[in-house]
Amino acid sequence: MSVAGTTVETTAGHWRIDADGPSLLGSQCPVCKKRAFPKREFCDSCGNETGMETVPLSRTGLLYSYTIVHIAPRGFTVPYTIGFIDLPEDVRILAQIESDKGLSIGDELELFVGPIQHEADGSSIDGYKFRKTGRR
Amino acid sequence: MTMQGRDVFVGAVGMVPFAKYRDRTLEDLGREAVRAALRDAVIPRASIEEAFCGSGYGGPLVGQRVLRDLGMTGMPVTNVENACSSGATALREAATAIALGRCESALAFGIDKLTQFGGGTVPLETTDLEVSQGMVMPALYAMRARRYMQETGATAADLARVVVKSRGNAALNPYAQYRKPTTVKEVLGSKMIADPFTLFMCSPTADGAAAAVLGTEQKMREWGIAKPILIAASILQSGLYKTGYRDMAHSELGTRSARLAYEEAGVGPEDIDVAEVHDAFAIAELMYYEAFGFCAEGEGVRFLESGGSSIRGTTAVNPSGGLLSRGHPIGPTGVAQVCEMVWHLRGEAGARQVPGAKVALTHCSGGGIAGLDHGASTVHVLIA
Repeated sequence: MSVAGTTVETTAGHWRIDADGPSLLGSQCPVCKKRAFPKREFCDSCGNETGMETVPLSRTGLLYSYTIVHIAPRGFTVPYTIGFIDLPEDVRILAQIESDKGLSIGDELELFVGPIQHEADGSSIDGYKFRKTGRR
Repeated sequence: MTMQGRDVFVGAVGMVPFAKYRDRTLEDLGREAVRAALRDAVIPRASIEEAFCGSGYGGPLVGQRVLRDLGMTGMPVTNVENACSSGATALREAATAIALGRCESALAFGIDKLTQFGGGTVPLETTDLEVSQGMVMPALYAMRARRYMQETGATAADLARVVVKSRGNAALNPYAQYRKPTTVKEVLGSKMIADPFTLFMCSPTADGAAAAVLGTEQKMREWGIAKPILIAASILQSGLYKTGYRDMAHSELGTRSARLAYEEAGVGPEDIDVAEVHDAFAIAELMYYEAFGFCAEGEGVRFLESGGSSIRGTTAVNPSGGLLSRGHPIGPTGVAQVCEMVWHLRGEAGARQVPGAKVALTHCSGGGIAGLDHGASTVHVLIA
């Protein structure tokens, strides 16, 4: 996974890890400046289709709502917590949350990379996740 | 006011009681519903000019697969998929085809067999990024619920009270899947699905089919329909895409669909005697009381507890037991809602009859898709 001094980018291209840690990769429209996640080549807001830039998004956001899921499709280990996290650039992320410290709406959460699914052989698949920063 | 074009009426309806039919085929269920609708008013098969079939998971040519063995072939058959709004969207297409003069009569039906998946949550598209993170439909509504509870002070016991009302109504409905009355304690004590939802707060896995025959005023006379029901509004909307902040404690899509339906029908929420709304999960019924204007914003729990939404309340909501208890097989749900409302408007709803019902509303929302309130939303206003 992350090796000091290198950048690891996932095949799906939704996140990367560099020297400062992981970040989600969104897009920014050069015309209307709107940011979005996942990144796209067409601005859904103003309709611009050229020059969309890939930008790293803020690593922390505020918890809008969450739930603990007890029934899930194959590949997920229940129970797990998912929630909507609002990043300061007006981008909402749905992600799994490490919630062993308890959660409340409005909590500040930070991005990290960890297992979110598992393969049939039990090996885990890493993805972007969030956990509490301890600040509120 | 009414839909654009000619007046369109529902002349006949029929449905299969929603249940788990593991030993029956999808096509067989569909045929039973279509035959029930044709028998409802002794409508000859040959007088149906077009058919529209709504199904979420029925696969290719599902409408033709049902109609073939009934000998109803040759006419245009349109198959419609719009998640939980599939059946209601098929009905809208049928009504529109008649209103705009393409045909004089049409069959609208909905069908699905969710037991084909074994159980659990309905499958969602795995290309959706949120689904790949572990999103399931109960989780989406559970997050709405938590936010709604935070903003209004509603509790899990309030959600349970929605289910208690639902089961109580379903106990009176022979078409319902879960007909055993329940208690707040039993609802809260059932298996946890997605906090704060327990099993009883989620609509169950169901199979079923429902059908309606639509036609012009002249067709109603020709068929000898004693009480034709006018389709005063037929609205379809889709969710708005938001990549950022979105208020999930209120349904923008539901509110917008309601406003358009009221405008088209020339009625207001105060005129609605009875409604079937999309209570896929307990929180949805409270949110839709507010979206449809049956009570003020934030007053959903109070409206429920006052009895306002009960069968004898100011606006009876889900007298059938709704999705929570009548069941929610996806495709037929919107058509089953129309069947239920037609029975009330005719005064044929038996023990669950809403007294003196003259104006009714049906509402189906549809589908989980990242960034949208919901994929689709359909509202029909029916007038006796």
